[in-house]
Amino acid sequence: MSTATGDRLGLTLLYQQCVNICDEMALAMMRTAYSPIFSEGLDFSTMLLDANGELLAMAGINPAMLGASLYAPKWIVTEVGRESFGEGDVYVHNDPYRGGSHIPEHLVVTPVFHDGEIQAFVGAIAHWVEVGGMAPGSFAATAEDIYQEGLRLPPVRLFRAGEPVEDVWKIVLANHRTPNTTWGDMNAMIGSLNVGVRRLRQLFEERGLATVLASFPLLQDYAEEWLREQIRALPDGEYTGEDCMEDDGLGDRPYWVRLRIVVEGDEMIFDFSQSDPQAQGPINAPYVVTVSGALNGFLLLLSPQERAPVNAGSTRPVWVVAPPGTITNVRLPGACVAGQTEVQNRILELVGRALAPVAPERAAAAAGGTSMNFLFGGVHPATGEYYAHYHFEGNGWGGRAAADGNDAQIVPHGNCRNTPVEVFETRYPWRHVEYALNADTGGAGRFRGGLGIRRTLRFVGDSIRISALADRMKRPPGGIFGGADGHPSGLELRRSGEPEFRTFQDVFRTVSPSKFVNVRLHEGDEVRITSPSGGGYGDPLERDPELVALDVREGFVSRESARAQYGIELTAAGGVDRAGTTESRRRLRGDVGADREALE
Amino acid sequence: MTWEPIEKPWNDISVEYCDVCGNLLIRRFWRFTTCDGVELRACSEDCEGLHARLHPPTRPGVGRD
Repeated sequence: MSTATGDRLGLTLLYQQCVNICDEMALAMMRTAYSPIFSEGLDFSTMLLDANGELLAMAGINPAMLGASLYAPKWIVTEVGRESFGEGDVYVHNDPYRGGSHIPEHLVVTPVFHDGEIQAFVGAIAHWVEVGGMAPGSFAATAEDIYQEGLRLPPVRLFRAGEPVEDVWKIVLANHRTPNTTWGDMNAMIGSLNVGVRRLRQLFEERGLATVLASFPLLQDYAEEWLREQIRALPDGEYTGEDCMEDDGLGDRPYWVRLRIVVEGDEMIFDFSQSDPQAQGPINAPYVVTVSGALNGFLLLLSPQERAPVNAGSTRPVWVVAPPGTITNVRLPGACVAGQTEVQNRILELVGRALAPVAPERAAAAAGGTSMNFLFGGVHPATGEYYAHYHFEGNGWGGRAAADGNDAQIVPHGNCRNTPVEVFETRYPWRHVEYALNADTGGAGRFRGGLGIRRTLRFVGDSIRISALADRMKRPPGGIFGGADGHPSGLELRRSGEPEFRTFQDVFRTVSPSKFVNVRLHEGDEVRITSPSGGGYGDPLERDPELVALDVREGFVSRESARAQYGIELTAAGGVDRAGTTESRRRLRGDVGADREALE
Repeated sequence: MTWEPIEKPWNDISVEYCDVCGNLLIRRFWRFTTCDGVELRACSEDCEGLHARLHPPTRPGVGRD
């Protein structure tokens, strides 16, 4: 494309070039970071923004950060004023009450000067593993306000004219438990920004500044038009759904997220007005997290073959209504660290479930729906230095219209990777006793729910403090269209020398089985993490018998479950016993429709 | 119906919310009056239209030109 035009081919090429810049920024961050949550987990994203801080493109890494990427940079520019940005300045902020997702995620932005003026911004947003607060790992499941969750930064300069603002650095480093890690990860983010600035300037030079600048609003218009087309394909109407967080870590009652979607022509309203009041504990979502969940939920329903830009234009046909003081829009000073990892799951799945009646081919059963946040910190016996880690766990996703749910995968909106056992054990004083797919737990269905995992860790240091912030321990992920529910999550402890695992609630009298802070363990203690498995899609008796037989051969489903849930009889060699299966399914169906049974 | 600045001293760190969608108000807000005569503060001009869609007039004829 040599000129700024609205043709989709040209815009797609330019957009992909922008995304490539973001991806290269992300690669720089991944390769230079200190913490595994960056280098292995990829819990970050990178972005290009126009001169007003409006999103143009982001790396295809972590969709959970979409909401913050849409709002936080724009608000930094608005709050401090574009005139405050000089060349080489970097602003940082992590404030959920200024467009941030939650306290651990920090956004850095820097202007891109060309011909002496700000032509654009580049940004990076990433989850820092330790930012202070009441619990190592900064996921305080019993926090009652934002001040217990860690160091909160409004937009402040971290660099001025390319030089570090030491006063700010000192405040940050003095308030984090692992300042060396903060130092390394922050510099990885700065390196990422430098890559972005360099590459964007190259783009200006290659294509011409005026041409590229004229194309920026067209990219946003393209995103808007494409999303309007997708919305227009839905029937006008109202669609509703509700789901809950089991508890808030401080009490034993569920908190409900209630969604009403209004489709009118080429616009959608996501109305969360009937959701529960905000919780005392940290299971509240800031507004941008709710926006993120709504948009991601809808984008997940769309065809992956029709990829189009996702940027500031994507918000124009979409309205999100979330009254402050509810679980979907926390009011200061409410705690909200779990909104991003937990509540966004609920919102994302509610969108799909609410629209399932009109888009069954795109819907899915419920996924595990929790990041199974597991945090710990202490003094490493080998180094004598303080360490802290934030671990998230893969879980089973829900069955879909044409495929089983994914196994052992991080939550859909997170898109992160797991940390390899070798890295985990090299960095931290734990040894893996077991790490396996949790067989026989995927919700039965025409398409089966994916399997969660079972991970047992033995502590090999002297003393450690651990915390957890998970969910779906009391309510398993639901099936859809006749599919069975999945399997709930679990967190258990076996004290050194004891024969049995017990819940943390049993051992430590925590209020919640899935949300607690600062439990102290000692050498030889073992923690067993069971992540949830996804729900099934469709009637299990309609599942292809050969798929069930394959599941049994590969250990995903036991012979007993194959018979009891799917009505599948297997031969001694593991093949499908067709006559036996026909009879078994006839029995399970109560003879209804048996004549129509056709296994071939 | 007008944009108005949010005038606050630098040491005031309170936050304010859009009366329609719940989004944050940053440095300025859109002031408008509903068809029922209630004055609201919004994060964008478009939120005025959104309010009208979410809360249609309670009496027939009210709000029509």
